[in-house]
Amino acid sequence: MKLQDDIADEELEMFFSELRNKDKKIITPPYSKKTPFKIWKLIPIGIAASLFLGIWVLNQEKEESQLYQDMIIISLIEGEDDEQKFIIEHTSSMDVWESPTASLLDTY
Amino acid sequence: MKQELLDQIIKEHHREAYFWSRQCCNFDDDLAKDVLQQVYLKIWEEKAKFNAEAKVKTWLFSVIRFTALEWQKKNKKTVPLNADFDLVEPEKIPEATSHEELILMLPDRQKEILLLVFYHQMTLEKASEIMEIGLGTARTHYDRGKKKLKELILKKQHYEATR
Repeated sequence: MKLQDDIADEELEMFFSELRNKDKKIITPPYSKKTPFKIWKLIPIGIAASLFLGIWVLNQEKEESQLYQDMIIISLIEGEDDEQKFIIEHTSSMDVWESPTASLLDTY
Repeated sequence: MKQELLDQIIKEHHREAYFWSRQCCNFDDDLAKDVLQQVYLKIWEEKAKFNAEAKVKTWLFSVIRFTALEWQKKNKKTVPLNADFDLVEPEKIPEATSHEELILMLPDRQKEILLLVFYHQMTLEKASEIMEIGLGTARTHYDRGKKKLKELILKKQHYEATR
């Protein structure tokens, strides 16, 4: 019985040996070491970038925005003797200009 | 073990590891390449750590088997009903049945143990370690697998003789 088993095993050995011979023709993909991408390595860079951005935003001074070119403001003002006069002013910033009708908002 | 040394040893086993990966993936070349790449990534990222008690080849084969099973589970290709029970009864041997097709007719565990013992020349003990089963269970799968494969080979030979 044991002998029969051994003979049958030889048959299996032959079967797998044939398979191995067939596999010899298969081209194995090359072994290439790819360095794994480690996301935690980006954490210090992220922190540094955030700090830099924060400092830059905080250090920014508010610049007074200048007009594209000097502006001429012509106002019509009524004098004491009911005479109306034109007052011509030059300005480079809108901050100094006040609408001549602005007082109406307070009065009425 | 140092990473460089482990690298060197894995490189030496690369070809055999590829064949085992292929066998674990039902002889699908593309899938085998993907699985093997994943295995190497696991090793390089130290997700799969080498236990000095085991041999490198046994450990590598075990990681490959586990990764292939994991992959198949993700893609729902495996319904492991036939893994422990002999439910699969090959009815017909097609005309041009290759060696690979005959092996695929075996239940998973029987297929694995026969490949490990006969193809990769491992002992039953090592094979049982890779398959994470007891030696007794391994022996049972081995005996059943041998019997079934012999039957299939005989059927094929009979078919070829009477053709």
